[in-house]
Amino acid sequence: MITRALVFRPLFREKLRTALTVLGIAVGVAVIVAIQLANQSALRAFSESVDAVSGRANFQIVAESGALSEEAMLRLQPLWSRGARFAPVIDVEGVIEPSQLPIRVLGVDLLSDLHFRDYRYASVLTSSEGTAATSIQTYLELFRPDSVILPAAFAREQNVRIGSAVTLNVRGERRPFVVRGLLEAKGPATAFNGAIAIVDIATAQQNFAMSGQITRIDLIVPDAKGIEAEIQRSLPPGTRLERPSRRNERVEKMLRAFRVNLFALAGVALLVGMFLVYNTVLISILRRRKDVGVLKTLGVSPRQILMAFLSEGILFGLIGSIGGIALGTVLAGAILRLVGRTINALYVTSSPEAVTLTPGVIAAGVAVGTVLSLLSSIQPAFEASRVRPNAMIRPGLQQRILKTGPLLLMAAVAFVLGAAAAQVPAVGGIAIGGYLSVLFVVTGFSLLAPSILRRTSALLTPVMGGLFGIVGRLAAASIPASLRRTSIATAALALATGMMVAVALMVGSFRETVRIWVDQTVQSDLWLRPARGFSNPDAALFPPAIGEELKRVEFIRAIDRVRGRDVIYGDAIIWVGSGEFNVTSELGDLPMVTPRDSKAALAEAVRRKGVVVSESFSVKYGKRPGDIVELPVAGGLRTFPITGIYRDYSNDRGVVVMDRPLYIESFHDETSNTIVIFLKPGVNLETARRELERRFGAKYHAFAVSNAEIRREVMNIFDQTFLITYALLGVAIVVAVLGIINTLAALILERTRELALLRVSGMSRAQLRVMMVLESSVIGVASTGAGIVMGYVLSWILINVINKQSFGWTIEFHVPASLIAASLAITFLSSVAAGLIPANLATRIHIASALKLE
Amino acid sequence: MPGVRVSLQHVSHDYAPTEDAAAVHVLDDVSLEIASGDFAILMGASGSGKSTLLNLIGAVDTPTSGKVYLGDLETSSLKESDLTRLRRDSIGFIFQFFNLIPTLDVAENVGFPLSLARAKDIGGRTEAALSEVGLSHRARHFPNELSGGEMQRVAIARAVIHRPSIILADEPTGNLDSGNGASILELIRGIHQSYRPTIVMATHSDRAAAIGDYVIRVADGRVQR
Repeated sequence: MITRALVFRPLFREKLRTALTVLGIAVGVAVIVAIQLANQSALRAFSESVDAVSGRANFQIVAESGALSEEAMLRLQPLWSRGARFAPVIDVEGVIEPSQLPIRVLGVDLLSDLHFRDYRYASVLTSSEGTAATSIQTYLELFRPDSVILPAAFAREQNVRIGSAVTLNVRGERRPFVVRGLLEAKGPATAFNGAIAIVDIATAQQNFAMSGQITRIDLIVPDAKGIEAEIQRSLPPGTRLERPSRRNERVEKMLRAFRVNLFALAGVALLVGMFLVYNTVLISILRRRKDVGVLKTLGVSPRQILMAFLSEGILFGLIGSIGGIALGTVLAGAILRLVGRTINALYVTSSPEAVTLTPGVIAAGVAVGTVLSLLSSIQPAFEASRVRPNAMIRPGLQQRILKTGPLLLMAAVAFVLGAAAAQVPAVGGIAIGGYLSVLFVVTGFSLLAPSILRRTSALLTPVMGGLFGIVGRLAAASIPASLRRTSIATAALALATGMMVAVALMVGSFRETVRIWVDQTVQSDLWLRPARGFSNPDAALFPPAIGEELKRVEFIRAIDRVRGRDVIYGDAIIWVGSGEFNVTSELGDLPMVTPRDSKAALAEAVRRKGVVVSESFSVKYGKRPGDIVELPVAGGLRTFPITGIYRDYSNDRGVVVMDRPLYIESFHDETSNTIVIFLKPGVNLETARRELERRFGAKYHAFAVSNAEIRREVMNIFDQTFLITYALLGVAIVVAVLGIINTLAALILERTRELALLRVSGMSRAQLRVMMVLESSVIGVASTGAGIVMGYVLSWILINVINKQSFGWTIEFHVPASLIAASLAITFLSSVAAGLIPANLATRIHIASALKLE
Repeated sequence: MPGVRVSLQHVSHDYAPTEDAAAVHVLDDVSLEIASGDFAILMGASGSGKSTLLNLIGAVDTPTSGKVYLGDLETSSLKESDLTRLRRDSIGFIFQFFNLIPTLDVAENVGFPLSLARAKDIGGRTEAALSEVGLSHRARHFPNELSGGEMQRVAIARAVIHRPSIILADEPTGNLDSGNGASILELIRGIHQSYRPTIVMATHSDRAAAIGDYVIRVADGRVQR
């Protein structure tokens, strides 16, 4: 009964306010749900592909350095009688031409592999008739050295059918194949969205220069004691036994910092939503103070009042969460494309498609929305339960006077705590201290909101009075009169603005730092690449021969062959790269952290057979010049001395770079991902480019890319990566603007009589509208001002604490003035526009009823 | 501005049904003439329709049927913007609960109608109005710093500062003790004598009714002179 009187009925009557609050929570929850779903789908796409390719194998023997000798199989023979089964696998990335799509190439023993993976053939080509058939004999065709099997759906997309010729470019080897089998969507054919080609292992070894080599051995090991230990004993050097799921775990770990950052941004939207709930419950109580007083006079206990208002918080949370989950599922599709692009660009190839709502995500959405909503209603509900009945009923009592003194003290404490938290080191690669510091700073500014608002209003009174006369003065004066409510709306918008400014500063600084870094790093004239436009460098490679041919080209001064690969380092995956240090020393530049001089560090690395490491590697693993790094190479582990730390913004996992001869010696790999070309002085870039493509284009499928194009591509990837960041902040602003509309609309309900009086005294509708818009403008000015200051403080934490601890990058501070001006204009204009809806409500007040003259 | 004639012709008024209440038939075919410069008193039981009559005369509400004239102007057919101007320029309201604007000080409250109209010499006219009600020394105080009697004096100063041709008062002494009530009535009579506006005052009190020229009785939605 009490809840019905105090909560349910008023909520139904004040539909706009209820709808705005529910929408605010729903948007906050939707962002959390969407990011979780998008991340989950991106990772699931990857792990499902790994599972589909692993099939029934419960263990794998993998080479630390990428490839192992097929003789390793012989060592396992004695275990056959004990029930262990093993299959050789070549699992590499490549490119299918002419579409140039990245494709996974799986080389397996087509006969014995049936124990491990499910293949269901849709059709197979017979050589004699050239037509499709499915009889047993025809399967022999699949063992021909140019046969490839594709998933039927993928073949359809590529306009390829049985008998069609395709070219696979794998590890720098371009080979023609004939499609002789099509697979139904089952087992490996479902991996990587069907972008997978299956060939017999002998075919793979022969065509991709891997004779005698495989990339791993899949095992089905019975659950008998001792076998696992026995396999461990028979492992050749440089290999390890692991569960297929380990790869997923490593990828998940690699993405962790990226995901935490996204959640932290989504948290901003939710925090703004929390302010909204707090405000709504507070307004509910203020609006119903008289009813609360009457109920208390009639004998309702404080506990019952408390419970009634808490249930309002829960109700908002529940409805908002449900709406948020529905909205989040829709949003996830859009976010998935952005997240997927970033993950592909920076981490692993994964092709996420559908978004699936799981019970875990639903539970998390409901929990986040409801718990936060409940938390934000505790304080106002508690306050209502404690107020004496006569104080609530007495007419003219608008609200408890807000004392700003204690708030200022609390804000000071929050800032001190924020400064302390910024000093805390990262925990497990996550910048917990940084996030806590942001939270404290935000709390501090929120506590300052009433003082800021009061001060802004005092400052604006003469200006608004001068410009708009009595209407302006009234607008400025009405804000401090309802400080408790308006300051919450101000805090919410200031928070959203602050985060917007902070992220604009951070991204702007980061972008400028990267731009300078790219200018410094990319000093060559042309880059020769084995395929157009991919991010994953393993997908296409140049064979060793191209290097010698290029060196003979008359207009080329020098070449720098670049090659790199993922390497398992401890529990993580890092990137090991290589280049020709003498060329970099002479013609290029490597931006260094320490020592300052790149030439010295590179020369030292060549002399001592050492490496230079990226800043992120140094920060993550605590390595400095003089330390050693131990890496798995062909034939076992090898230690390398570190001779320098350089800046690298292309990778946050950590990079170890060595001279090319040392790389070839370590990994027995002479291919290259990219060849950097320095032209002789006076050679025309365009002519050189055309000539290179003419000579090498057809033979090696090489594309020449200019220095400017590379720079542009890097900046494009950068901008795409941060697109989602802006989208999330946009959501936070929307939620905050909803807060202003909500607050002003509620104030109008409360001020109906006062506004009616203004109308009776002769204030026109237009003047009333102007007054309301001016009121929201005061809130806008206060929040924008507070937001700028907060934004600068937060950006410092983002750049120097969170970014440094999460990714290990040094970012120089730059102010993107136009970006910041644009974001401030957006927030200020939104707050002004937010006044229009309540202004229209105000002009519709029925004067006679409001004055209650009867 | 001297008073203006008030005329109601066959006016009926219903309050539309709301979520909380059914439709209410408040006035039923009322015709009434109040001559220019008259001081008319409306008396009747609570709910008889006095305040509705004041609302209709004061152009804050429009009748369901019938016509309302202020002088020759038919207010019941005016647009909202014209009604706003009419209220601002020609009508002064005095309420039982004063209805001062809490965020403005005394002088700003009094000068409010002039400020809205962007009139000239607001300061001088406000000073004169405050002096007329004896509150010049309270000009910079806020409403919550005043006594009930003082608040009503401020409300009266605000109602008359633009010298309206009609003053409408709804139980102006209903919320005051007898001493303050008497002085407020005295003030209103003084204003009537000073420039002869038309005044319509609703009251329950015989003492208050005594200062008017005549009494109009309102009962069950009808009037008797």
